[in-house]
Amino acid sequence: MNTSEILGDMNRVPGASGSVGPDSVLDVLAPAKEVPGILAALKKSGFGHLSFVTAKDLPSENLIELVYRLFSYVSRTDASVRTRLDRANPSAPSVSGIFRTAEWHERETAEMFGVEFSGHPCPGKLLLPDGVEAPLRKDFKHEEMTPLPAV
Amino acid sequence: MPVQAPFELEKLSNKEYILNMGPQHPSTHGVLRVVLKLEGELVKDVFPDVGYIHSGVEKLCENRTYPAIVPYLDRLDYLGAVNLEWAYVLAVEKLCGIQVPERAEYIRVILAELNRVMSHLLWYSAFGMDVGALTPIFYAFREREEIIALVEAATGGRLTHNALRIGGFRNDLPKDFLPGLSRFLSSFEKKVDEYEALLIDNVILTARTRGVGVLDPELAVNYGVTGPSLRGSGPAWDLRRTAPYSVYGKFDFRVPVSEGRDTWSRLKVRMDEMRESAKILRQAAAALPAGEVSAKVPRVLKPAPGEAYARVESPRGEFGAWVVSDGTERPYRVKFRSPSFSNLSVLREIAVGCNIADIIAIMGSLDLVIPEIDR
Amino acid sequence: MTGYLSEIYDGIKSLCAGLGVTLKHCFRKPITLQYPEEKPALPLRARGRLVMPVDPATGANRCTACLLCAKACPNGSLEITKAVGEDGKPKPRAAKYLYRSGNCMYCNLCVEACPFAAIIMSDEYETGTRDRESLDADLAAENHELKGSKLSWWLSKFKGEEPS
Repeated sequence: MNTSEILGDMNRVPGASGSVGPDSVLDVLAPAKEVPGILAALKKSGFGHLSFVTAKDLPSENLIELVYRLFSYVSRTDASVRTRLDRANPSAPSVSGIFRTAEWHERETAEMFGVEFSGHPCPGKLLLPDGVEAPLRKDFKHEEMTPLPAV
Repeated sequence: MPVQAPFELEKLSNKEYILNMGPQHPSTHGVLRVVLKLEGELVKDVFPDVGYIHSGVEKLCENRTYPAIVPYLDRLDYLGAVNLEWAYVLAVEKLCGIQVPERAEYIRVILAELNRVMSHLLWYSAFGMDVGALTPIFYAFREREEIIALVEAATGGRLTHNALRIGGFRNDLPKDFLPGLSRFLSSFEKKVDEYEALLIDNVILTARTRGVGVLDPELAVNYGVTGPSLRGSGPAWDLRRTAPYSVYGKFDFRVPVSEGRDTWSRLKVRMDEMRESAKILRQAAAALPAGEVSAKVPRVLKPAPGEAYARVESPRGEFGAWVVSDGTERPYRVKFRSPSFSNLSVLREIAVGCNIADIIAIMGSLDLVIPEIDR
Repeated sequence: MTGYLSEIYDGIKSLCAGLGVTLKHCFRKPITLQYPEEKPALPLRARGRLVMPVDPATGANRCTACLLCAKACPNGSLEITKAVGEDGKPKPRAAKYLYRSGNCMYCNLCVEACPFAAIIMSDEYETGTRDRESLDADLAAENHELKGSKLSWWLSKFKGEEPS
């Protein structure tokens, strides 16, 4: 399947919008519940490698944006699937049934941003010690965080 | 960090017990805790517990300027440092639209392949020590010292090189670098043959590693395994060949692959990779063009808002840096995708059903570096 | 039976190959440096402890307290106080150049940021000490004197011959 066919399929998913960026990255923005379907479809069209699952905190828009980055070793192109979650109660379905690598990536994203992945087989902290909650959010405070000289 | 393993004591049968291969262990290659459920010596379940060396580098980078982040990349995977710096620098150069001069690209390839050889030599030594062979480290470290001396003369640091800058390099290579490199390469491939004969082809090691830790290619791809651990199972996926970055498309080298799928195949792939790296080094040193080593980059770098992801083939697999810029001099978000993170997650699938000694051999063959898992 | 014997033969052959490698290495020259008695020759660019050398021509250091090094440092290991003259106006000199060597990453970014080549990473790597306070030093007051090839390399830098 070439990129325009895949793009067509993506745009047919309710609530999703796909485009090809200037660096030929297929970018899809979709609602959270459609993400597993989109990832399964992309996996079938050759995007067999999930590089990472992570998130970006956007406090000004009150959102947390999840990013899934895929790569196709067949067509040598990247795909980036994004979804926007409500910052007060971020929750998304887990895709670890489709890509087993997502199991650990989702655990890390969950503890770093406070996102809940429903249906995750083994939730729990991965990297952080007890007592540290959602450190990668922009409003995280810790007494040892010191500002550096302005440039 | 300290998480209860998902097997409780009440559910153990009366022959099973839980053994903790604690965070301090000579064979876990760093601060890694592996909780094993054992029946005698037979492993019933494996639970890797990471996070003991989590330093929050992704949060830290949000408070540093773009050029100041490069030294942190060295510390993530100290064995293949230049490859990691390259991923980050590539991402920032994509964001800023900086074109790096060709001489700088070739020098980057030379330093990165030297790092790859250094990393595989240390992997060879450490793997030997894990399985009980205490001699290979003394021999492989001779070659490693020669490379370290070369790289130290060029960059200033033995292991934490801080070699790359956004836009190229700060300084050109010193005058005696290329003669030193060709002196090193003149005897290197014979040494690799010797090291292979010493450890990899040894009858005891082959008996210990053949048929152990078999990793199916579909499972490996599903778990996001990349690098020599994946190529030992069949798929010839090497980013230097499939998605060439920089000038890798100009070199003639083979991607070592093995269909064996077991631990021994992964070992063999790494030895072959050292030979291919020597080939690339020869070609790069011969084709090194004259010219500038850095593009013009403003002192205070403020990329346009946007995001970029760059991936390189580090000695362990695909290392990627995802950089999000909001137009200021500090990045908004930086994410490092490290190969050992995904390579370790497959341990549970391949290690169940073997003995404890086999777990050590399997973890050694996956070539993990814990700081890049924990970041 | 022949399979068993050929296995024994292959085994002995591989062990002899390994022993052959070890014996060959017995006769190679050792590369070990007997450390405290023999010290390695460090290359010019080796990054040891940061120093602010005294320019032999003027007898003073070259720092103008522009603070570019402090801004370039990734972890805030440099804290500089500008000197103030009797009339209250700031002078282009550092009154105190606090260098926290315990915090320092030895990354060289400060040296590269300095437009006057006032600081340089020396060859000192034996900086172990028993009390943490001595890791913080005032480099401007140290009046460090570079020696040998490092000195001529440093002098060539601000004559514009080679960037740091």
